[in-house]
Amino acid sequence: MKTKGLSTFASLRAGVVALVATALVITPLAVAHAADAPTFGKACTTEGVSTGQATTSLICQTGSNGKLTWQRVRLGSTNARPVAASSAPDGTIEFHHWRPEDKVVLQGIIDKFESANPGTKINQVIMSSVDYTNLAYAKISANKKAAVFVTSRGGQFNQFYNGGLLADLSNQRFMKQNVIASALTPGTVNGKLYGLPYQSLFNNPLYNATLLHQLTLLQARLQSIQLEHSV
Amino acid sequence: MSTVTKLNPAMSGKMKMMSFITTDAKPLYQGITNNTFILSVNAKASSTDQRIAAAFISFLAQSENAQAYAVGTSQHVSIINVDYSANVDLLNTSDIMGKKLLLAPRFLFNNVNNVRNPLEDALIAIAGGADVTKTLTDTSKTIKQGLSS
Repeated sequence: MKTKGLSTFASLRAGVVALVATALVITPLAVAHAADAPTFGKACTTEGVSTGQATTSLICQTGSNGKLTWQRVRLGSTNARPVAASSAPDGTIEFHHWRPEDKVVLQGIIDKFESANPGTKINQVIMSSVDYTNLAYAKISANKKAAVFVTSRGGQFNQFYNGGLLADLSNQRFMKQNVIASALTPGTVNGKLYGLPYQSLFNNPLYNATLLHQLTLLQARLQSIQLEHSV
Repeated sequence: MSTVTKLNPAMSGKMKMMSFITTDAKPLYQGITNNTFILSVNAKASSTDQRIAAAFISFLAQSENAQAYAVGTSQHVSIINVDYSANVDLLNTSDIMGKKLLLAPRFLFNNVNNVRNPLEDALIAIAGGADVTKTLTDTSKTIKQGLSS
């Protein structure tokens, strides 16, 4: 659990300031964190929880004294700091993916990339998720210009791997120094890195924390009233 | 989360993620994670195009670009030095990344038709009130028959 990340508490505190300014009802979300502000070397309670995905983040681990304390987190596959982007040769390639909802944001990043690498162009080729699941392998395996693409964990990634379409990225320094190591598992085969799992989704239910907090307060109040009346 | 806030903008800033813990013992996992956006370089592209592709992925792996992607699309990313404070919903739910997570088992079955589908049908039936022992016994037979045929 040494490589898990969550937002830094410094960030959380910054977020709290912004939140309080906009809406007081949001405060309970942040208060839950503020009560347990982690400090390097101090005791912690939940093993594996970390304060963020920054090189300065802390993680709750068992120390040499056998007790859980906040220690420096090592997020990447090495202790080395993240590396800058490599420069690209001139040319035009296609980027195949299945998220039309991300098109605008990705285009903004592509525009920056093209400005940093004049003479290089990247065209997004976007399918619906259903089409991508069914057709991506056939289309990409027949198109050498589809130089960057995405796959989903499991079956689709394995299909592309078995078809010899995944270049080995193990020697790329950014894979080991810019990426949270624990996140690399779905793109790893026999210890070699064939893909960068860029975003993480969580199949956990969302709940309204503000409402739950208010209900908890209400329940506590009702219990105290009942106690007063039972005395 | 962006889907939720589109349906009800008032939910922004109020969401957290819940772990369904079904045991009093120390849980093995506290949640499920899934990866559907694994970036790769086409091994059959020309060497120049592969270099462009790798350079582009290295550009996406810069914290400021990953942060722009995360904040702009309301998704958590795997890149170091990303700060979610510009997106309150990502910030409030990012503690899930520090929990013990299992890579989506539903999508890792090798045999979808003969194993995953009957198992999913069984779980749906049980959640709907069917008898657990009978459902699993019947499903076990179905899976064995499917594998031996």
